[in-house]
Amino acid sequence: MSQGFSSLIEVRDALRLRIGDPDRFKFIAIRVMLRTGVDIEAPSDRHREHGRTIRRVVAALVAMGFELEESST
Amino acid sequence: MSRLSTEDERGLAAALGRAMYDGGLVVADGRVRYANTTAEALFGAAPGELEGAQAGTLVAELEALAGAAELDELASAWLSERVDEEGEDDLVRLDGERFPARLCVTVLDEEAAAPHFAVTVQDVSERRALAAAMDAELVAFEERRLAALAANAEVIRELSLPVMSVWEGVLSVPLIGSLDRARAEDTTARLLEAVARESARVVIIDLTGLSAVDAASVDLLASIARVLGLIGTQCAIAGIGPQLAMAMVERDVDLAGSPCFATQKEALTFALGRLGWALSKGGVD
Repeated sequence: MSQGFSSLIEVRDALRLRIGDPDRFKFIAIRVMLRTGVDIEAPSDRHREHGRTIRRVVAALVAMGFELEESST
Repeated sequence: MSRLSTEDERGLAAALGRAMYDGGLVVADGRVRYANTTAEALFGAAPGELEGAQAGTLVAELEALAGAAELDELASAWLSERVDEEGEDDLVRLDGERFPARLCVTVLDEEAAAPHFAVTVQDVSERRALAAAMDAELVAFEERRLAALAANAEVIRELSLPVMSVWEGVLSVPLIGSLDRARAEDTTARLLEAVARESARVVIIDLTGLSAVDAASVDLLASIARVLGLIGTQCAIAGIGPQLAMAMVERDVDLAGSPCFATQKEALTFALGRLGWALSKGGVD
């Protein structure tokens, strides 16, 4: 699992790139919000570059079957 | 403001703790100094049992380090990371059972040699279970949506390539839209099936409705004609527009001897002639 993301914007963009379909991305963003309480579509300033929050979101995505590569951003 | 005595502080903390709906703990030097009754209930502890306990043993992340000399230090560092932020972590009851909790950590006295952390704890098991149920519903909904999309795509594919039997032994295939490799392969496969089923001897491929024609499309069209030729079926191309005609000349395309016609009518006349029929004003002889 990549731990190198420095912001939720990077995570969001990597996920968008991986998913492609905007409807499917939105659906996954809702699932992430349910699991973590974090809105990855429009992350709040408090969450955006918060290391623990980023790790929590990445871990939730991995649990959902979406392992992201930081290099794909 | 006059300073409270230690006794006053303890009395005040106890009064506040009793009034709290959330679990409340005060931790210093990695040890629990105070726990309200809700916290004791959350951790399955008897009254007073948590006081003096190592805070690290109550945290799932640090549980494995129970007994380690540095556990208290690690617990303080763990709490420091969570100061002034709300988050969720897995905690551990005294009987070893884990539960998800929402934590809020604040420092009571930043100037003290060892910071005193006030920690409020909410058990979020029910919310997590509800979220998991909603998540399962969402996944099921998405699966149904994707299945519906796939079914629609199949219907569109079927409708976009009608293979019509226009006369005994003659099939007509109007190509509409654009021709890419996937569609050309699909067209070839379905044509071969239809040719075998109808015992067709002539296939008219009508390109009148083909909107996007590029060099690759021309090659794909030629390959369809060659495949049909290999199984002994004559291919006739109808509706060749100026753009396609130019592309075919430029690429010197071999249509495996397939004759080309401007209109479907001319192609049909040719097909009937191949089968020994002749068109006259009175009908087909």
